[in-house]
Order: sequence, then structure tokens, then C-alpha cells
Amino acid sequence: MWKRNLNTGRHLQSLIVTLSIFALGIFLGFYISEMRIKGMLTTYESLTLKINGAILQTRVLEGELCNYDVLSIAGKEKVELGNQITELEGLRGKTDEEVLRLKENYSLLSINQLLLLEEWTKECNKNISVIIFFYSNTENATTSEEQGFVLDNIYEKYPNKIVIYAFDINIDNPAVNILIKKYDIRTAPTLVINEKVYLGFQSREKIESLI
Amino acid sequence: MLDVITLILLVVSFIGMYISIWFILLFLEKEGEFHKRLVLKKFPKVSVLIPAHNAEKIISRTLNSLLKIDYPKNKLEVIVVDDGSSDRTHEIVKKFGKKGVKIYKKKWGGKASALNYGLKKVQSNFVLTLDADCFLAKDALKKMVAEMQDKRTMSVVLSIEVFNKKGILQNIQNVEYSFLNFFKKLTASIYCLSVAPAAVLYRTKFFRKYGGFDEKTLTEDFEIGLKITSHQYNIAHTFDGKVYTIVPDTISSLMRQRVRWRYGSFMDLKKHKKMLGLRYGDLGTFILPMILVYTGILITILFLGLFNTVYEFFHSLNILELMSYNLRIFFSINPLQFIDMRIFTLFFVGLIALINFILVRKTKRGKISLFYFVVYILIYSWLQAIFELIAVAYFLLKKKPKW
Repeated sequence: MWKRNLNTGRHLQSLIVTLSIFALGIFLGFYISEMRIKGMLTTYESLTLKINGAILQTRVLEGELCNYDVLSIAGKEKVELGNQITELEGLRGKTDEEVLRLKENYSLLSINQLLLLEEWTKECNKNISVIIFFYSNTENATTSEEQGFVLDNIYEKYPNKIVIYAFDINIDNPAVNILIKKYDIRTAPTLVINEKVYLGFQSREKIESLI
Repeated sequence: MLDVITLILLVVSFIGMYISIWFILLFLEKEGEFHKRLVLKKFPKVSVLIPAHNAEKIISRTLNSLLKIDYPKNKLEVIVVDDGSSDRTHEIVKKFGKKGVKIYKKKWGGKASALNYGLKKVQSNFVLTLDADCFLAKDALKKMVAEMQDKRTMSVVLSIEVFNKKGILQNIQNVEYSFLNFFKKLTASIYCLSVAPAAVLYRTKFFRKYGGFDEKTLTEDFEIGLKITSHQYNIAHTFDGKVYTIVPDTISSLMRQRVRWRYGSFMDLKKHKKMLGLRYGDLGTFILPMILVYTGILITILFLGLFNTVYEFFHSLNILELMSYNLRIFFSINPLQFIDMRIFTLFFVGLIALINFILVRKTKRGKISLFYFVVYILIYSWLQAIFELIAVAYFLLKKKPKW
């Protein structure tokens, strides 16, 4: 009696084609994130050079600090780098090695800039509010995330009045740890606005009243 | 939780894509089958069997088109079985008596019982079962009989087209039937066709040997298809032979029809579950399982995708609120946040649909509407998914859907 057969050849071809398409998609995803990281490292390097250059200049040329526009260094580029790191976090996850390394480097960069900025605002009588934002991705993660969005909004509104520095309290980095000790940070989110500590989530209105 | 959804979408998309690629590869191999033209040399006697129940509005049209077909009149016998009609079906058909149409009356028992009753009256070697609301194209029967020249063929089906193309729903169904005809022909080309709807030619000896139609199932056309293939015979499809049918014109009647089809197919496959497996080659290992799950794949992609999107939408609204609805920051923070598995799935579903459309249009020499195809993909698929869920519910609850 005649029987139907199973054409394994066609099934093998379909499997190969389907796997290839999926592999292509996955590869594309990796490629895109690799490209983004390369771009971020370049931005990071240029930013580091700028800040170190500024620090050196102000140390060497005494009394020149107030002629220097420190705010311009703390401006667009830094914010953009911060956003790019957030984007990478979303693509690769918050525990990705590459992401954590970038974040640590960014934190060091931020602290260097923060110290310089605090000195600049005090000595040169600048009316800039410095906001230090301590956040966590483990404890109260959603609240930290929400606080982050509020701060993004406020910066957008007052880009020439405030500078925001964000630090992950879970990063075990000596420089960040010094800051944590200085302000006695125990939980997240915590904001330090112009040297005053505010625990927990702060609304847009509250922050606006303080800057 | 969203990662589980992404994983499920990934698996389901993989399976869906595998099936689609398989059919595309099959088409590339068997495209010639769509253009084959068989020539009929001898004209055997064919009995046409029409089961009719309350068909007064349509039966005279059916009989008139039947009497006009291109087949020797002395080799054609028309038998109508009045399945307990309470309208004027019997009177109307009786008027065709002088044109040779025979009519028998029986108590209502359903289409299968009417067919089985009529089979007892058939003496020809070939019987054509024709639904009361179907009109054969003039050359359809010739083409069907020509396919019987292959000894393995026990049954022949036609391409189904919509007759009442007046509204949007009917035109969408017309596109749908174009796709169904396409896939029927493809599966028939590797002897894996297992359904016999609308107008079907059979060798009468099959019924004498293996019995008639299953009177308990809701879809006797699928059941008989499974029965024929289970005995290792073949169902052929004459692609350019056409039958025109009246399709549902309201969503509720469409729903009843489709829920019945899917529920019936679950029950028939359950009855013939021995056909699943290597013994029936590609039919048992691939085609039949695919018939079972392809709508499940559709449901998963549509509803999971929808759920995921709605969930993300509300999550995004929440974030936007914290940013005082400043869209510029929202998109600058993470411009790639919306690129994920769903975009990938959407893109490939669209691509596969387009490729299928192009292939189907090729076989129909351009006669298919792009507009209704787009509506079919965007809107009709949701209806199909809902109908499938309802059918599954009936099946799991062990209740029979209303006719």
C-alpha cells in the first residue's frame, strides 16, 4: 500500500533559515549595543580630559578659578553621557559588567567635577544649586527611578541654575563612599540639595522651592 | 514578568516563522502544480448529491447552475435529499423533476445523515457532494474527474470563492479563501490534504468499503477527509476548478460558523488521533499538528503582544506624569527603549504576510485585493483569535457549540 513520507530535507532547510533569521536578529542587537558603548567611551574620555584640564588650570593659575566657566563642563555632555548609560542599562541590564564599569568611571568623573563646582560656586559667588542624588537599584528601586525622572524634568526646566550628580549607593567605590559618609546616607533615594539632606522621594514642587 | 512574555513571544514567533518558511519552500518546489492542466478523455457517470435543509431561497439557483455545467447530460444524475425541511424546498426541487432531478424526503438528521441517505441511492462509480448554497463553475466537474485518473486519488476538492461579495466581511472572507485555496493546493501537492469542503468528488467504492459520513461530528467534511487519508488514500485539489459559496455576512453568523469549524476539527482530530505520528509522514507529524496549533500561535502573538503593549503604555504614562508630560526628555533618556522582541515579531509577521500575499497573487494572476488583504491581517486576525478562544472553551468544557 502506498504511504506518505516525511520530507526531512525541507524541514532541515526551514530550520536552518529560521535559525539564521533569529541569529541575525540577536547579532544585530549585540552590534547595536556594542556601537553605543564605543560611543559612550569616547564621550567619557573627552569629558575626563576636559575636567582634568580644568582642575589642573585652576590649581596652577591661582585666582583664575572664577574666570573659568565650570558650568559649561557640567552641562550637556555630562547629562548626555548619563542618559546613554541609562540607555545601556536598559539594553543590557543593571548588573551587566560593562554597565557597572561605565557607571563607576562616571561616578569618579562626577565627583571630580562636583568638588570643583562646589569650590567655584562658593568662591565666585555663583547662584547655582548643587543637587546630589543618591539612588539604589535594589532597595526602593522604583522610587529611585521615579525620583530620577522628576530630576530630569527639573534640569530640563532650569539648566543654568542647577547641576545634578547621581550616585548609585551600591557601588563600592572609595570616592563615592566618602560622599556617603560625609552626608551620612543610609537609604535611597536621598537628595542633598545645597548641602542639606532630604530623605525619601521629593516632589517636583518641593525641589523647585529649594533651588 | 515581562521577561517571561518576551521568552514566550520568542518561542511562538520561532514556531510561526518555521511553519511559514516551510510553506514558502514548499511553494518554490511545487509552484508548477498550480499551473497543471489535466485533460479528461473519458466521461464517467457522476451522481450529484445535494443535501438540503430549508434551502428554498437558494436551491433553484444551485440546481440551475448545476444543469448548465459542461458535462454530458446523460452521464450526470442529480439527487437532492430533503433533510426534513419545513419550508418550500421540496416543492421547488420537484419542479426540476422534468429536468431529471430526483428528490427524496427524510426526517431531519443533519447534513451527514442526509448524505448517507443519498449515498444509498447512488449507483454510479463517482459521487459529487454539493452543499445547497454552492454553485459550480461550468468546467469544475470536468477538472475534478480528470484528477481521478490517478489511482491513489479517492477524492477531489475545488478552490472555493465567495459568491456574495457585497460587504466588507464577505470581501475579507474572499481574501481568506484565496489563502485557504493556496494552502490546500500546497498540501495536496505532497498528498497531505485532509479536508473536503463545499463540493467534493468521491469514488463511491470508498463509502461501500469504509462506511459513510460521521453523523455525530459538526464538521463532517473534515472528518471524511481524515478518514480517507487515514486509509492511505489521497485527496486531490484541482486549483483552477472553482465553486462559489454563500458566506456569512454578519459577525455573529461568522462566529457561529468558525467556532463550529474549530470545535469540529478538535473533535475530529481527537477521533483520529492515531493519525498523528510518523506513520502518516508529513501529514501526521507536521500538517495535522499545525492545524491544531496555528490559531494558538496567532492568539499568543496577538494577545500577549497586546497585553505587553498596554502594560508598557500605562507604565510610560506613569513616567511621563513624573516628568510633567515633557515628551522631549522622555525620548531623550532612552531612545531605544521601545525596540524589543515585539518590534522584531511585528516586522517579521508583516514580512511573511507580504510574501504570502505576493505568492498567492501569483497563483491567481493578480486577482486579489490588497486593501482587503490589509484589513484581513490587521482586523480579521483578532476576530479569528477570539473565535478560536471560544472554540477552545467549548472543547474544554465538553459542550457542543450551537449551530
